[in-house]
Amino acid sequence: MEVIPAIDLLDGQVVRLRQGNFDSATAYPRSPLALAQSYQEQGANWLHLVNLSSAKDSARDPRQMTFFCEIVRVITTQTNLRLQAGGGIRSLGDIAQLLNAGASSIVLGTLLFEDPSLVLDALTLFGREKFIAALDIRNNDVRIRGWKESAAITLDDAIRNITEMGMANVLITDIDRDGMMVGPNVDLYERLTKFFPELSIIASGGVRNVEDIRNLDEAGCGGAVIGKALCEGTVSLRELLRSYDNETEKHVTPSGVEGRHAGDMNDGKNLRSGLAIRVIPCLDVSAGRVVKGTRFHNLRDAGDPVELAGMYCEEGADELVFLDITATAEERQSLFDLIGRVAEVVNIPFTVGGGVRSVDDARKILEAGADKVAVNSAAVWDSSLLSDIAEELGSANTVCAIDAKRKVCHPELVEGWVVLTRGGRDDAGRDAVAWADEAVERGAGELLVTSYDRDGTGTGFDCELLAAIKNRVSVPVIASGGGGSLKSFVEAVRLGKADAVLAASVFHFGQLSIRQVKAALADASFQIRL
Amino acid sequence: MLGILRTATGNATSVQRALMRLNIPSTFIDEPGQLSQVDALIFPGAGAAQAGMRDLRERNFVETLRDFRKPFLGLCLGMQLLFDFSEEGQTECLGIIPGSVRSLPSTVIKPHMGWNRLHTGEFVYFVHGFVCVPEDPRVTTMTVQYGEEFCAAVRLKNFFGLQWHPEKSGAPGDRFLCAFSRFAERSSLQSWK
Repeated sequence: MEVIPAIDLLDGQVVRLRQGNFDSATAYPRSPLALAQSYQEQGANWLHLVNLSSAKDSARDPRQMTFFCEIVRVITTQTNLRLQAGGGIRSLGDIAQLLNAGASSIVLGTLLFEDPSLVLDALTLFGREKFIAALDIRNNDVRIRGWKESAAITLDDAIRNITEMGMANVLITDIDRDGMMVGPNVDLYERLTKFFPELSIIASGGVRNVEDIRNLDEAGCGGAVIGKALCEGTVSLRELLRSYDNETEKHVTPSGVEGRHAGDMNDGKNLRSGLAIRVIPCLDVSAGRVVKGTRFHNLRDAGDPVELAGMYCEEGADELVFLDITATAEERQSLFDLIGRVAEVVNIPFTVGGGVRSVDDARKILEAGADKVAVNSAAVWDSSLLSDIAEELGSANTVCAIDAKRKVCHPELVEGWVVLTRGGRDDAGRDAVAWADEAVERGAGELLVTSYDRDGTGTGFDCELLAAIKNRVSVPVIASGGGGSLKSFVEAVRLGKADAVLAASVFHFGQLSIRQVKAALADASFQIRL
Repeated sequence: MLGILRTATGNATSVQRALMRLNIPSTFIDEPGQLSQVDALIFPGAGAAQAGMRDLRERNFVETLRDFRKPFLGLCLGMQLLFDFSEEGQTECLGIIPGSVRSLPSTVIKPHMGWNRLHTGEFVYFVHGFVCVPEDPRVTTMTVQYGEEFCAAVRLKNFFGLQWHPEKSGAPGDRFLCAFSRFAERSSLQSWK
C-alpha cells in the first residue's frame, strides 16, 4: 500500500479544511514546494495535490488553473515526487495542461457526474491509468461541488459507473472523518475492497497514525492519503513510513497507482495470447450484386454489397473480403465505385480481389479505398506479379488467393492438392502447398486458401490442406471453402491452424451469424474480438 | 475542421472516409501554408520511415511539424516519425518525442497484423513491423502484447500517436477519432506550450 501525503491549496497557500468547510480553513506557513520537498526527504513517492481554489470557484476563472499548473510544474521539476493533481477540473484542456505541467495522475470528482462523456474522451485520449476517480461520501451519499450538493447516487452505483467507464483507481474520502483526526472508516474500505476486488481503492479522511495505515492495508486498500496529521505534526511521515515498512515490508512494492500495471487487469481472460482469430464474410460480387454458388457455379443472388458490408460490420465481422468474380473490363469501373461506397460504411479492414492482373490494378483497388489486394490466377501465370505488387503496396497489403483441389477424391487418402486458376476452370499443374510457400517467398503477406472441393458445400473446411500449408509458411492463412456447422469453423482453427475463417453462403443465407461463429470459437478457448 | 496530411505514401483517403462516416469535417493538407485553416492535424503514415521522412522534407513539413502547436495525431508510421530515430532504414525522424523506433523482436511473425487486445481489453487493428520505444514511459497511454509488451499509443504535449489504425478498428477507433475531434474543437483557442 502506498502512503500518500496530501497538500491542499487555497490561493497558492497550503491549508487544511475541516469536513470540507472553506470557512474552517487553517493556513500553514510553509510553501507548497518546501512541504513537498520535506515529504520527499521523508520517503514519499507520491504527492496528492488538491486545488481548492478551482474547486471552490464556480465562476471558473481560467487563471486559477494556470496558477495551479505552475505549482505542479515547480514541484515536479524540483522533486522526484509523482503527483496526483485534482480540484476543479472542467475540461480536456485543463487535463492536458496539468499533464503537460508534469502531473502523473489526474483526480476527477464532480466532472464524473457533470460530464461523463467528457471524462470518457479524456480516458480515451490520455490513457485511463492516468485517472483517479474521487468520490466524496457522507452517509453513503456521494457529494459533489465541494461537498455542497448530493450527486443523487449511492456509493456502490457510483463505483459501478466508474468501473464501466474503464477507471481502475478510486479515491474515497469519508467526509465525516476528513480533517477530524478520528481515524479512517476502515469498515467501509474493507467492504469496498471485497466487493470491488478489481479496483485499487485509495482511502482518505481521518488517517492519524501507523495503526490507521496498518488497518487500511489490511482492509485491502491500494493507497492511503494523509493530510492534516502531517501538517499538524502529530505524526511525521518519516516515522509513519519507517514503522510501516518495518512491519510489513510492503512499502517497496510498486503498488502505486502508476506502478499498478494496466495489463494485469485482463490476464485472467486472456485464453490465447496474440491476435484474435478473424471471422470474415466473403462477398462474391458480380455486376454490382453479391452472388453465391456451389463449387464456383450455379450463382444465386445474395444481396446488395454495400448493405451487406454494413450489416456484417455491425454484426462483428473482423474483416471483409470482396471477390469480383466476373471481372470484365466494363464491370471493372463499377467495382471501383463499389469499393469506395463500401469504404464509406465500414470501420474494419477489407480486401478486394478478382481479376487483378497488374500492379496498376492493385494500386487502383487500394486507391479506391480497399486495405488489401488479393491476387489469384495472375500470380500463378506471371512469376513477378506478386513481388512487384508487394514492393509497391507492401507485403502486409498483398494477399495471395489460392484455389486448391484434392488430387484424389477418396477422402481418406490425400495425395496432395493442385492449384486451379480462372475461377476453378483450369488446372495449373502445380502443387498447392509448394505454391503457397513460393507465394510467401515472393512477398505475399497473407494467404487466402479456398478448397475447391468444399466450396459452397457446407461440409467443413479442408483442414488437412490448411494444416499442410500452415506448416510450411509463417504468414497468416485464411481458411475458405466448406464452412457449414459451427464445429467446422472451430476445426479450421484447431486442426487447420487457420488464423482466420471465411465463409459466404452460411452468412448470406442466414444459416449462421458472425456472432454464433465467434461464440463457438470463444467456447473452444480461441481469442476472438468481442 | 481537422486537417489530414496527404503524403505520397500515406492512406489519407481511408482516414478521410472514416471521418466522413463519423460526420467529422476534414480537409486535405498538402502544404504547410494550409495549416492555419485547421484546428488540428492528422498524419496517417504508411510505408517505410525513410520514404516518409523524405516526403516530409521535400514538402517543407519537417520544421513546421516540429513547431506545430495545435493538436496533432500521428497514425502508425505517422506516430513513429514523431520519435528521434527509426531503425527502419536508419532514419532520423522528427525528434518531437524522445525515444526511438525499433524492429519487433525476431521471435514473432512480422508484420504484426490483425486484431490485438490493448491493455484496456479492447481489440484494435494493427499493421506494422516496427515499434516505438519512448524514453519516458509516462508518454505511453496504451500498450499491447505481441511477443512482448510494447507501446500502442503515446501523447506528449499536443502530440498524440497511435500505432494502430483507428480508421479500421471498429468502435474503439471511432471513439478515439471522435474524442480527438472534440478535443481539437475545444482547444482551438488554447495556446500550447
